[in-house]
Amino acid sequence: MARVILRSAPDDAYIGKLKAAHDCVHEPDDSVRIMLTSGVQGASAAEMDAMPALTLIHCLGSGYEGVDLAAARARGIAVSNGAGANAESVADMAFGLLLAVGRRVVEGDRYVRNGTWASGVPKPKLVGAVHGAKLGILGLGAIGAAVARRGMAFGMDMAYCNRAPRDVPYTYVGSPLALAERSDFVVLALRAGPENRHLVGERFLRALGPKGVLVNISRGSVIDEDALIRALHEGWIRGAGLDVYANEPNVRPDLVARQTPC
Amino acid sequence: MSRVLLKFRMLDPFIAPLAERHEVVLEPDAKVDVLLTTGLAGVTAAQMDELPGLRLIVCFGAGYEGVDMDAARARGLRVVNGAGTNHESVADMAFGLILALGRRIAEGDRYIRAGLWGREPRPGIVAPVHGARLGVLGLGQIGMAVARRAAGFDMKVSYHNPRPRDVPYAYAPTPLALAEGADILVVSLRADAGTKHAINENFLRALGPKGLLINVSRGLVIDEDALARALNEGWIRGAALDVFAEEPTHNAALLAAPNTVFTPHIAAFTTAALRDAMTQATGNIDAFATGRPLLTPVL
Repeated sequence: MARVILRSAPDDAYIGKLKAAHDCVHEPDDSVRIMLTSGVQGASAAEMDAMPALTLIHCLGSGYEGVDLAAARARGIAVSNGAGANAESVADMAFGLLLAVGRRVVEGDRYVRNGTWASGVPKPKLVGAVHGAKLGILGLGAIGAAVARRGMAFGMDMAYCNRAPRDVPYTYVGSPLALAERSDFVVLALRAGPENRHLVGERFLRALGPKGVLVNISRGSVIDEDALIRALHEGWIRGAGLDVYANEPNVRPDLVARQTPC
Repeated sequence: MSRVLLKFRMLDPFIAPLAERHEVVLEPDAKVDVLLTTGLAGVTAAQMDELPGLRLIVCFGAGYEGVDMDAARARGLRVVNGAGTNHESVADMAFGLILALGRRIAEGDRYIRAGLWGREPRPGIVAPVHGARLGVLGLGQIGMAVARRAAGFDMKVSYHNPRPRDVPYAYAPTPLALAEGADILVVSLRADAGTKHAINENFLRALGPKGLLINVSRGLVIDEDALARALNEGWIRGAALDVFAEEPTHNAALLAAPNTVFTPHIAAFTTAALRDAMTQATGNIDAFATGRPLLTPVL
């Protein structure tokens, strides 16, 4: 039995087993040995110093960008993540966002729900098909691979960009810009970190082009939101489906301002 | 060359291939020999009589439920549909609705746009879509395209048709048995008198409180009063509809029901589907005009 500090607090229903086996607390003290956190919540050097007995930091989910790895290393603290545990659910969501934007599902829902359809206003504009379209996956890890399997089932033309090619039946593209240029849909499934900060900026968005749709289910820091807002308002790209933002939960009002009449 | 009466609004770029080879008109006259309509718009016996030269009815899309087939038969008319041109787009939409509803995407979008994030709890946690049990009611071309997509989500697929097909999916002998064994139920039935209100109270209770209902076929297959009660009283978990008994729908009770996603009959509304449907309609009209066999006759 170990003393565990809960920094990321899932519903009680999911930590029952943990609580039964371990001593779970919410405040730091001298005997906490394990920290349960998330990539977004992270763990700072100061927090580590407040728990001198700490030996393990575990991140729920696959990201660990908020953990000060250098500080953990210096203190001999191990860090683990939830690799693969949520890949299938996240990939479902990626496809849900892809289809919601690509086929105007959310826009259509507003149009029906607020009475616009009944008032005789023409339906949302015709769109390109999703099946057979070119799907680009930026970051082919566990989540990217799960997105790719779904893309294959939709008869999509699959490509991906990683640091190195993998042994997969999808087209490898050497740079993010080249991936954006060839794709109708791009799914961002990158690991968050300083090296990927604002990887999606003006050049990437202009390369994706006016028929392109961007989907982000990784981390908000990967996108330069100033550039994305301009891209949406000025039509550099067709649309974006986002589950993550630079500053959660404070989503910028100019990002959620409607681009469509209904 | 035929004289083709267009009974619905269609964007010019899609009409162009037809207009290159045939005369397209928007008002009935005695020389019209082909009518281009949709299953929903259909054509009545009286409308047929306004067109004494009429010999061929072309339905855009797979449905032809609005065509008075007895009247067409009595007048010696042929009828063709748009089989096989929009099933991929409709199946895409079916999955868009499954995920928008199952993963609360439309609800999440409203929550953020209303500025509630950080002030009120996020929409509740949901069961995953991957690995769920998918029931397909009506395994035609659209149903098959839905089932193919389900493989990418590791779903267990079962279906009901009047007779089993040679497919690698489990056959449910009745619609009720299908509903009982499904977490997600996609309706892709052909609309006709035999399928009217196939989704009724018994069916919805069999689908159960964890079940999601998706309709991309025709509104008339659902008893909307029963569905509104099912949603309000929690007989099922949610419903996502692209089609309605009346379109545009004015069903206030249905529109106010919780756990819903509604789209305005746009499942086949893609450039690819419209282009392919118009290519096929033109092929049918070409065949008719030159005395060759029709491509997709239904009468």
